[in-house]
Amino acid sequence: MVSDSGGAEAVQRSAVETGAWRALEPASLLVNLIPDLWRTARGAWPLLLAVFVGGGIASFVNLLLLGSFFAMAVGRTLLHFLTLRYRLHEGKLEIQTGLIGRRFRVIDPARIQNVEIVQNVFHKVAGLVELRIETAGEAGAEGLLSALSVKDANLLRERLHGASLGAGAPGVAPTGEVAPAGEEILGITLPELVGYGVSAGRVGAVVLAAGVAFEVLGQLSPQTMAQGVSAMRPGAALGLGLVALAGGYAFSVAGTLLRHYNFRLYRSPRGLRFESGLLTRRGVEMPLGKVQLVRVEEPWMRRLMGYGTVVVETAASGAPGDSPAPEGLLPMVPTEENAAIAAVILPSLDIDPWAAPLLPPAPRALVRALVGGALRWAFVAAVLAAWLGPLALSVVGVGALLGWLDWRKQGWRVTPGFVVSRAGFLTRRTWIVPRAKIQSVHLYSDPLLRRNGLARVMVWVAGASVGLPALREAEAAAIFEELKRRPRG
Amino acid sequence: MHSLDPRVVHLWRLQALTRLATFWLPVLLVAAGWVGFRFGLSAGVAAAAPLVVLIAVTTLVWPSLAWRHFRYGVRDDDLLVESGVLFRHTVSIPLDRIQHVDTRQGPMERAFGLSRLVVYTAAGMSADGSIPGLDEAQADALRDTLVRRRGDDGV
Repeated sequence: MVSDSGGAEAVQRSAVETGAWRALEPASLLVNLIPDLWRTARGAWPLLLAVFVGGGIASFVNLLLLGSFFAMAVGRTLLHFLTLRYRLHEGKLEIQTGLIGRRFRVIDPARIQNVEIVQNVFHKVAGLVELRIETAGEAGAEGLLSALSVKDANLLRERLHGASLGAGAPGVAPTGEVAPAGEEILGITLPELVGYGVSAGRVGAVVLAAGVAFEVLGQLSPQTMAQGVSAMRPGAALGLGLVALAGGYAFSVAGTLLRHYNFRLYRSPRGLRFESGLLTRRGVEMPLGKVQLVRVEEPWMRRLMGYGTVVVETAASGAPGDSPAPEGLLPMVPTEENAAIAAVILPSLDIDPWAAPLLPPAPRALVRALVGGALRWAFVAAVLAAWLGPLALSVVGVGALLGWLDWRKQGWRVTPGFVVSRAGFLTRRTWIVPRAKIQSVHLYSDPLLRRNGLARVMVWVAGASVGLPALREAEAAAIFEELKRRPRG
Repeated sequence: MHSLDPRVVHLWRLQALTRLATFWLPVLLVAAGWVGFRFGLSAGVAAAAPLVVLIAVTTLVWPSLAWRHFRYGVRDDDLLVESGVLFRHTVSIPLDRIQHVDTRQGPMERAFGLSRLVVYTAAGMSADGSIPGLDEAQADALRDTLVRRRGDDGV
């Protein structure tokens, strides 16, 4: 557990409740500095490499530059500690920071999308946690308190939940007690996580790492590199490729274990609670009313294992570059439990998208799917034509075949409360959107669609959009009209 | 459903002519000059002529078509905007989902006494609805109507 949330430990009244301005814990200097130095080193790796590999005056200049970067990291951490102050005032969280450019931020609990408590190894040693609060505003955490005591973080979370849900609401601990995690809905075992890591293997990362390694070796010893490449037999090259591929999968599995180890999903009257992480433990609380969209992703390899991945999206933007939104990711859900999990996340769900038959796209959309699939692969065929000649045309045929298979798997349903859409052959995706969360409804057509008597409907919720397959014009117009109306209930 | 102010057609033509003068005309002259230099004057003229016709048609005719295909209306529960000549787009924005509304005027729009109304919801990807070419007073009135409505914003 990230914190002491498993039990109902009574939290003493602390300075957080008095409304006085509070600073971060002094140990935050250490807790924040080490990751900041690591980030600096990671960002300046070409300089580091140049310092170690090069020599002479250039290396001295590089060393000076590197030193100034690290000095800036130290200054940043010190300034952050000295200037950041926070307090709970009239039910709202206020955070001020900065020396020259000062920033004062007020976070209304009613606008909070999720609250995350993070504890990395440095936090653990110092007995601290990081509190991240996300609203529907800018990308990243709008409220970030990087080093609080466990007690203060829990108390802040309880108070913000209390203000958000209203006093006396279920799940709100009236005396500042830490609410229990709730009923466990899903736990993911180690073999399942390994399966997730393998099915999420990134070949691109292997190619990139191999490219960097070749470049560095080439710079260090061009002659040895050239001799090695010319002397390499085809069998050895294949073996090297397989080792690199296996390394890529191992890298992916290691990343998965670090991120999702001991994953647990709990349900309580306050909403959902996700916990996971090996070295850095994360606990995210998400009110059910904030869920905008549930997406189930089933890549072919994971589907063969009998699993899918469930992504819960809120209006929070997530940290820049995070994909998918990390706050609500259930990495491995058994396929037969998809519907049950979706019903937990969306309690009023009035359809089982895996049992109820979904409606197909318009038959004439097949032409578009075939042409689209062929065109997508035409570029690959053009590149391969240099080696394969006319045989490369078969790649275009594969593209068209994939287009047809994708068209066959498309489906949609609009119920009184929800919109369901499904697409994808290799990676199958199912979107479930509560109609009560729809921000706008769009109807599109272009000359090609109109020529085939087709149109497309798309719904936007906060932070995401979902399209239905191409439908007959009259059908699309009717669905557009239906979705404009407010859902019943 | 309402149409845009007819003055917007002249505004769009002027904007298209400005784009033509600052970008397309120099590109066209350079391309025609290169063709003329390599293959003779008649080849240069032959290459440039269809492009000139195409640009003239899009500059003069397209704004009229775009105006004809643009419709908007504020109904009981939503704002409906239809647009597009080739790529047609209809959007329905429930009134209680509107977060804020902008009215904008560039120098050319000011000269024509027109405003652009831009509507935002919490979808947050970009403006959800945009109505160009409204009379200034009409744009202000419409903005006030749209922001007056309050309710569950779905976030």
